[in-house]
Amino acid sequence: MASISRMWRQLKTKYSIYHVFVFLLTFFSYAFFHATRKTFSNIKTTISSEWTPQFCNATEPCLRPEKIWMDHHLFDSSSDAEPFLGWLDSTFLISYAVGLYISGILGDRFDMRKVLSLGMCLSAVVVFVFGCLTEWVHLYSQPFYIILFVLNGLLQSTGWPCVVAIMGNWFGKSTRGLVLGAWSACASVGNIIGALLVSQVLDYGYEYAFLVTSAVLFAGGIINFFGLVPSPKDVGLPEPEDGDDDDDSASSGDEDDTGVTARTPLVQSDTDSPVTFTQTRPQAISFFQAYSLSYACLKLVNYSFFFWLPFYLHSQYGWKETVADEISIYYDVGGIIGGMIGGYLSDRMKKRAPTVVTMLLLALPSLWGYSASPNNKTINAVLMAVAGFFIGGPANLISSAISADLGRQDLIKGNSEALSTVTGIVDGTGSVGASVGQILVPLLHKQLHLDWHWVFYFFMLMTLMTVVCILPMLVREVRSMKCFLNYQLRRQAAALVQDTHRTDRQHSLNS
Amino acid sequence: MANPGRSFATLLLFFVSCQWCLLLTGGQEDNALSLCQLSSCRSPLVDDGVVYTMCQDRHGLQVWGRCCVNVTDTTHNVTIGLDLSGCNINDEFFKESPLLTLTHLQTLVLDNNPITVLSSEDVAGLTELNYISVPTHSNCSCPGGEEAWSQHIRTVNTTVCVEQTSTCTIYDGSCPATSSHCVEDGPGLFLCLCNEGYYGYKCLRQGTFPMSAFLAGLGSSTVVAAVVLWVLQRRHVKTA
Repeated sequence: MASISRMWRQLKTKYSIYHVFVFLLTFFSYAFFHATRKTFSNIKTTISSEWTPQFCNATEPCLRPEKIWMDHHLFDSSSDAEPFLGWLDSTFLISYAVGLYISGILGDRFDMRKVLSLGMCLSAVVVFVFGCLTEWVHLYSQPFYIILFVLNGLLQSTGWPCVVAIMGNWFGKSTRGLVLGAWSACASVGNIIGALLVSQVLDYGYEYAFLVTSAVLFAGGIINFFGLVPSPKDVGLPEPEDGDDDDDSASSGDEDDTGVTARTPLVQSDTDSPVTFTQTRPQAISFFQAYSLSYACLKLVNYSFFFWLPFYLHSQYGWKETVADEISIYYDVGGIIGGMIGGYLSDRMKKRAPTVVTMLLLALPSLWGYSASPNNKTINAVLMAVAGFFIGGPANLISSAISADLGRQDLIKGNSEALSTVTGIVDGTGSVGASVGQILVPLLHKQLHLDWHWVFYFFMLMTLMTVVCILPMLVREVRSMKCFLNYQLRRQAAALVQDTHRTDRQHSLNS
Repeated sequence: MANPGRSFATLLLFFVSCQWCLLLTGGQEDNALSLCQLSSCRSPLVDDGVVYTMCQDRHGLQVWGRCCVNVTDTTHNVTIGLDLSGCNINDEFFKESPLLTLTHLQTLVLDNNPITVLSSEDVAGLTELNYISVPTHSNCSCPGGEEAWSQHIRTVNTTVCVEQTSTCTIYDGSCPATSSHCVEDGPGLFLCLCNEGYYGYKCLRQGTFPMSAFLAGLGSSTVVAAVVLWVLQRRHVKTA
């Protein structure tokens, strides 16, 4: 009991009520963003039957009255609508990726609270127009839908950079891994919220599913506008300790030979504050690029799992779609646990790269194991959770905790406008990877008629690429560890020397 | 509480709508009557025809031109038999579905007409039709095809089809079962109408969304949350 109350006291000194609300507000903001995306993927069947006439041919008579069964002709059949739905997904991902680069910069230049609130409210309006208004006025038009999805992708991209940056402002590096690991469950929680809301109101008509999720997102934007405090500075609290533990300060001595150090700003801002990539230090840029690229590879694998897992289970094992949907949740569960445990370990080590690299190397056998899973739901779910642990976990770490580390590091270096920019660039590059995956997976599987095993080999290759791209970071962290050891040794030696000097002097004085 | 202005307006509305109703039913009758008095029919109804015989045999039926009308129904006269034989009727005639209003038609004779195709859509909605006679022709047969009628009597000049079969039995299971049900709609035709409680395109919708409750609930909780958070959080923000 005593230890618990001590822990409680520690928590109270470390965290204020602000921390709790910031955690909850950012968590649910991003969850609601994800809920609106999930709405679209869960009403695909309904919306494609809304866009098409009832199927009929020589043996099956066309149903009458025409007004009920044959009136809508956006597509001839549901199978014609399917590619268009895929196109909408890709449109969203691409414009989301582009948007991330932009809104990251916006988040740093303007008040993040306002950028986030505005993004949420406008995105809610666009979702409402897409899902609800077009149905109410019976406007079914492909170009209009595409335009709306481009807009929605751009607006939704305001979410991630801002919420990660705000979380990075409030939670210091020493606890960031665990806190952000737990926090990055928000996407999965959003998916669950979205799925539940949709299933509750789908009977009233698919447009109400969009109405409900978009209204909730809009409400979230308003609440954020009146309640969110983006930085502890704003309420006169100290900013969290960051990055520069004693080991980092030590590295300054050996900066010259490492070339790449924590001291180098990733993103530099000019005096007049527009954030630009200035290539003052080519190595620094390439280090950051490699890091972004590693997330692109990993997000490709991660999102391919999200999008294709139910379909894979359905086609490989012949399980019903509802069953496949349920089982695929275990991948998310594994990812959340992986993110938290990985985050906690990296907090304790004070280094993130070794944890991430270890997890990713273990992801290779777990992927192979999953591809060889027998036709058994329990075994499959367990293997899937393991794969989620080793792939989803590091992906969560890279996109949230490490991005925040890097951004905050720059902040310390006097670059006050980097946190959300860095997050935006990392996640943007990741989303480019994810959209490439959306094109490549069906290409590998359908066009080239390759076995599903080849898709898994491709995933393993991409995971390996992630490791390769993250190696510079590992090298840097291990070096700084070595430097830290050197520094400690030197300090101890110096202290020893001083000690001996002092004792010598005392001796001489005494004598 | 008497409100003379309002009751007057109600009366006026009632009066106008009654006039409108009369106009509508009158129009329908006109159409039916014009079918009975087609100018293209050179001769009156022949007295050895099926329609004529039917009209003579049963009480309350009267021959009006080419029609046999039930006059016992007080609200409006119902045409139950129509004989258009030798009226020079071609495919063009059915373009505007002239038979649609004769919902209680039981007997239809179209002998000696240059009809090439008679589709089931031309006699859509005539659920009570139990006798049809069409010219025997390579393309022209009874509407709805063989399985729409239980009996075919084919002679050199005319083909007579008797007694509609149940289309819903033939196409059993064509209507999406959970949301709609089958309703007969004339020879070879059926309608899929939404089940009780279902509505909208393809009968996909069910119930009414509690819009006002949802908006009120979400709106009020948003306001409460915003106020609470403002008091606890943003109030303390120092504006630079």
